[in-house]
Amino acid sequence: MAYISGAGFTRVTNHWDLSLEDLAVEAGIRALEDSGHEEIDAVVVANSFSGTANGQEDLSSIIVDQLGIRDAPSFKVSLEGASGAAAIITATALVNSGIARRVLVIGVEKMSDVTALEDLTLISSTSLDRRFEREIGATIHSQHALIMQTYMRRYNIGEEDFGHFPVLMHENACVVPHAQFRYKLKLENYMRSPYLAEPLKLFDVPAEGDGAAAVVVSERGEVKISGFSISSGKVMLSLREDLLRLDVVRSSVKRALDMAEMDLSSISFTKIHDSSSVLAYLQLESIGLAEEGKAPQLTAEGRFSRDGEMPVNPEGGLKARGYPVGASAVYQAAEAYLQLTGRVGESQIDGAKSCLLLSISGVGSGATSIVLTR
Amino acid sequence: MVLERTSIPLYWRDRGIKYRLLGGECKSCNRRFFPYRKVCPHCGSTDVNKVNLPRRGRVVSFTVVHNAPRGFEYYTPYVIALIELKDGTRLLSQLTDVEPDEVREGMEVEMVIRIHRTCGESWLIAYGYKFRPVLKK
Repeated sequence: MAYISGAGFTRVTNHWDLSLEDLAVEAGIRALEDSGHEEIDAVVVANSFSGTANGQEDLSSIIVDQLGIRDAPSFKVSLEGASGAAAIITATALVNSGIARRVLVIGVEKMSDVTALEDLTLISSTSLDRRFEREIGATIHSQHALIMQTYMRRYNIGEEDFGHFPVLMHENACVVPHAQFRYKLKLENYMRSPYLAEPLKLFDVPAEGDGAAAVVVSERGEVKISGFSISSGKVMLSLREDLLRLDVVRSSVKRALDMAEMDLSSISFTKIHDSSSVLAYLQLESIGLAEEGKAPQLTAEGRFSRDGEMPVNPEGGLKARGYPVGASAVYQAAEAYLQLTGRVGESQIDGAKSCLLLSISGVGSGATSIVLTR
Repeated sequence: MVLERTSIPLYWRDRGIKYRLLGGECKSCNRRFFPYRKVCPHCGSTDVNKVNLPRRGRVVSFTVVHNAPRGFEYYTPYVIALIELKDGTRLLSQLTDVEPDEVREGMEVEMVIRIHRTCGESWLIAYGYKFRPVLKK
């Protein structure tokens, strides 16, 4: 059985003075310190865009070299927004199988080296099918927008209903020291934000942010990795039976909970991949935390607030804590580790014993689920 | 940036799909799909024929893109639409010869060949399908 025995991360922001590997080394050192300087026998790096945004491949070798770890196997795991979860699951498999005893997982992303908006949009859209989505001008935002449009039509709701989720995320992030955006967002400011791809607005999606997070996955520790699963599904929107069905979420959550021999009622809090407001709602509905079409209303009513029935993204999620793409699921795990060991300060959920961590690649091409228990 | 460039072989090998809407017809589940690929995305069968899909259809839903990626700035704002062809096959395409505020769900459209983009120092011109409102029924 595998456990998390240490965690560390940097703030999510534009780290103008730090390079891709500087960030990774910083998070790695913090996690190793937190774990009590355990000896590491493998390193798994999670990252999505080092080749395209930073021109650096063979990333794990670069990081391990600079961390001064000698003679440990290392490699990079990549699954776009879910890279971090795929890396943690890989590390868990290494420990569970007895191949390694302690694995350092480092998630890192550095997008602020790309300074032109057009290039950022292009790189952020590389999870789309290149030949028949991106080459015709579709972007990551156009895909979210088409799903949002479908959601609005089917459930007959307006654009303002999508503002409830980012408003909640900003509210949560206000007390989180490492969050990118520590200010409240008003619904009227959400409504005033410009369109990226109609009806998707600037405040529906996270900003690009640099950051690195690391966890130590060990054969001993305080928080157990009780269940995990990865599902892969259809990439192209035009081939999906229903734009509002995230089958990959349903199947990965079910398998992870089954492995942990748990159900949703025994989960203390949930982290989802709010790469847009509508994707957040679809995940809440696909997990089973809201009936179809009801997630906006339940969000507005406070069900997913930190003091609500089921707290979701207590640190502010991708929207407000920040979204360093390949690192974001390692942030989820690191924050959850601190939550479950009662060490997060103002954003602490009292008595939290277990959590479900969900991440997404692309606009629902794949999904990862991890269940952590104390 | 390397990403915005394309190359002749990379583009040319898709000419059947980009110029003639080459799709697949699955002999196992009798469903069609776009673009052509070896394995049916609906049922997983490899018993798939190539088929030129109909060039007319209707807009199912659409979005107006305001922050274009590198290579598409010239066309901004432009419409990306999910289109259902006459035989029920769906695809994603840019709309052309129409202002964004004139586009409606259900609008009848037809395929035309247009410049998708020009790229790189060599000004390679990439052509492919776009859809425009049907001119005459």
